[in-house]
Amino acid sequence: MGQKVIIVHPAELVRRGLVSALEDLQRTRIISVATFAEVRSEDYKAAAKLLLLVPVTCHHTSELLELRTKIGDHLFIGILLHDKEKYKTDHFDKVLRLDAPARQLREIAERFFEQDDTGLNDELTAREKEVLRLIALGNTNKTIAESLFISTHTVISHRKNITEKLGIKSIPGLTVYAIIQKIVAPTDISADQLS
Amino acid sequence: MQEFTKGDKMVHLVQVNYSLLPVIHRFGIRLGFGNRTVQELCKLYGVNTDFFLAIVNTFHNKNFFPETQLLSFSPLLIVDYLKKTHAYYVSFSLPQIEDLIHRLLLSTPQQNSEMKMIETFYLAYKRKLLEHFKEEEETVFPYVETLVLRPSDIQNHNFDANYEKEHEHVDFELDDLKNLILKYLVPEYDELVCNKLMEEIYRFEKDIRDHSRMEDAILMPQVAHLLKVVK
Repeated sequence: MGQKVIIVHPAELVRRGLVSALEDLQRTRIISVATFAEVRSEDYKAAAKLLLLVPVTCHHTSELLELRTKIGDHLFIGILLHDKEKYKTDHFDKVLRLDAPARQLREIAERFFEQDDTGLNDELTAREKEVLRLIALGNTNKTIAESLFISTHTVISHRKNITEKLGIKSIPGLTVYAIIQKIVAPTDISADQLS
Repeated sequence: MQEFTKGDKMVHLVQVNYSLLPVIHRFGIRLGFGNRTVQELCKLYGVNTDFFLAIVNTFHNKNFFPETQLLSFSPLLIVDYLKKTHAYYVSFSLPQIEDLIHRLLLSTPQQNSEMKMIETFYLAYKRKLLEHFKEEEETVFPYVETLVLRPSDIQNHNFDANYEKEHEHVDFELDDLKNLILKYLVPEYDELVCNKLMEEIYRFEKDIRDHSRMEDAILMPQVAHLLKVVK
């Protein structure tokens, strides 16, 4: 079981851009290929949820339809290069222009994958909690990035979101919050983390 | 908002805004005002009336910060005032908040031991703040005094006490303390202690913000100006 993202696009730079917008989604594997023909059944067959990104001009209409029947919980996003491209709207759940902000795609994906991930006691996503835990343990942005396999840029953006959601800016403050919410145990914290 | 003037009765200031009383005390002016005016009492206690009014009005009105006027006062007056506010924080505000946090947490259920971290956080904050005060009192203030009184004794002409960053830090942590209590405190606690604590924190926050602003926007530019003259 698991969550899968399949990115299909002939342009490598586009694929890379899409991967980086989605790379740190929690418990999600990303597969990125140039053409639809390269998508193999083992890429998606065990998936509980599938997010598929393909150019709207993708000709594999019947395969797309078949894929829908195989994975119950799916979201197909068509990528539109320019307004003049012709496509069938009913093939896609959403259409996104290539020049749309990465944040928009990110939000769609988060909504799709994390819609049942609403925490009881706070407003942080599972990923943000993980980042917060590592902050409280005294890690730098760089080591957090390394241990979560994401870029430092993404770590910084998580930190910004955490601070905005909690209204807590300082590292000692975030550490205390993490202890209060039982994200870390007080015994895991070194004394100088609060100073 | 109104601005107090030297002809106002001193008692009127407190009647309008009771939080000015600690500021008046800080200048060494004691109760028993009678009907005497600001000017009369300042003269009696040997306080510079214009400086007193500039400070009192800054406290009274958050949009009032007479930068040009404050810059025109002697740095010695400013340093003297800053020392007095330090003393007020050290002997009153900080221990008061500490005591209230302690009492607040004692009133929460004992199984919520994580709440104790709020006290640990405050104690760490207080320690850092005291270190900062100490550094200012041992390094910055004596330097300013020498610069004004015996400029020829000044050896180091590249004095750079840029505390703006540090002040910002202090500000953040106080804000975090407020949010930790307001947003994440368990619902079982003594509300009277809590009300008093929050009132004290907000009051202290405002006070120390004005205090930092005096250092960053008034004292430091004055030092930079004096150093240019000495050179």
